[in-house]
Amino acid sequence: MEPLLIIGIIVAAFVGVNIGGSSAGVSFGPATGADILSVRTACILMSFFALLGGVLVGPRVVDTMGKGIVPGDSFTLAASITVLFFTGASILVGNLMNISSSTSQIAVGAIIGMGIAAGNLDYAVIGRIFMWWLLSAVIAFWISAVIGRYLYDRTVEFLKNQTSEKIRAGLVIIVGCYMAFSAGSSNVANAIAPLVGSGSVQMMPAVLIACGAIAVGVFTFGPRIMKAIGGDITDLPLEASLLVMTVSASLITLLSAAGIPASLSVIATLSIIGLGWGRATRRVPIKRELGVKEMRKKDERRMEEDELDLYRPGITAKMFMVWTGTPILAGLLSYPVFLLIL
Amino acid sequence: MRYYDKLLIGMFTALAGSVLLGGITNISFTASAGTGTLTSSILMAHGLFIKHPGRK
Repeated sequence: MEPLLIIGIIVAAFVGVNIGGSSAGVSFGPATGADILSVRTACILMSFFALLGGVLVGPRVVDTMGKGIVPGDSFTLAASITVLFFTGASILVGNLMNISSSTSQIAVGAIIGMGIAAGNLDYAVIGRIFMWWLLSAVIAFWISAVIGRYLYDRTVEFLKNQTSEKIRAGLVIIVGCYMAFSAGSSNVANAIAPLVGSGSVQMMPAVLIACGAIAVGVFTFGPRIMKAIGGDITDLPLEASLLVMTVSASLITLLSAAGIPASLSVIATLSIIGLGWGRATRRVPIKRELGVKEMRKKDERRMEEDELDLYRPGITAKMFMVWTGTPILAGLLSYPVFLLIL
Repeated sequence: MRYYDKLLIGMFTALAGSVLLGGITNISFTASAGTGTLTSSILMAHGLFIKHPGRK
């Protein structure tokens, strides 16, 4: 085996390990946080369902990233390692600086930089990917906003009063497994697409390497991240996180099946924003209402909700800037590097 | 019907309309869905940043 290929596989495994840790946090943070599952069982389920998603759906995304954006033969081993290096470094920087950036967006950004440097970027594929990124973000927001505005109370009431403890626990586990499946299906490509595109490793062995690395990440970093980073989502009531996770996992799985490298962090965060925004829109404008008429019970409850920090436009604007900025930055940084090595 | 109801209906109409347009005309799906997505995201941005529910 060529030394360069060994380096490539090591960098791919590094990317996979990091993906495993962060995906475990998002998928099973709620289940372990609510003491429904032990951390060990959560890690086993996470690894198994990520493998299932990676094997069944992952190859479609690998095809797009490894052969669709630029022709597969542009991925020399050196180019593959550079793309993987950008992906791995950005995950590391993101984790160190506590910024929730998207691995898929950075990987695509780096490949775009490479395609522009080589002059063989397929703009139609890029246009399609960008369109789906925006479309999936809008759909995630819309579905969650509709639930937040019209159905939240009824859904939470139903889950709390009409279902037993066992059914709720079962739902949390099922949704966690679904999320793990979607994480595997979309993230496997981030770790191995350049190597498959270059023809250095065949599809299935590469997918298995990625899934193995993800499992290592799940068992090593997963338990800590489930408690820490997973807290972003578990700050929500359990019923809300179930809704957010179901919307996100469904969109990610659908996009991956269509071969689109989708971002779990962007979709999950927009879903959280949509749910909070939808709930916040039901508030009664207190200043206008007070003194005008007697408060009804319903309005009193809405007034109490006014005290909740459901939606913060400043943080939302910052997130939008990070999401738009990261793929552009990845492209701008990778372009001069590829000009040198291609 | 309040502003937020109209906004959510507007977003849905823009998306569904553009997908339908792509299906029944010769316009490519990417172009038609892209136009609908852009319209929806402008509406979304209006609701998120200009007339957002956090205003007092």
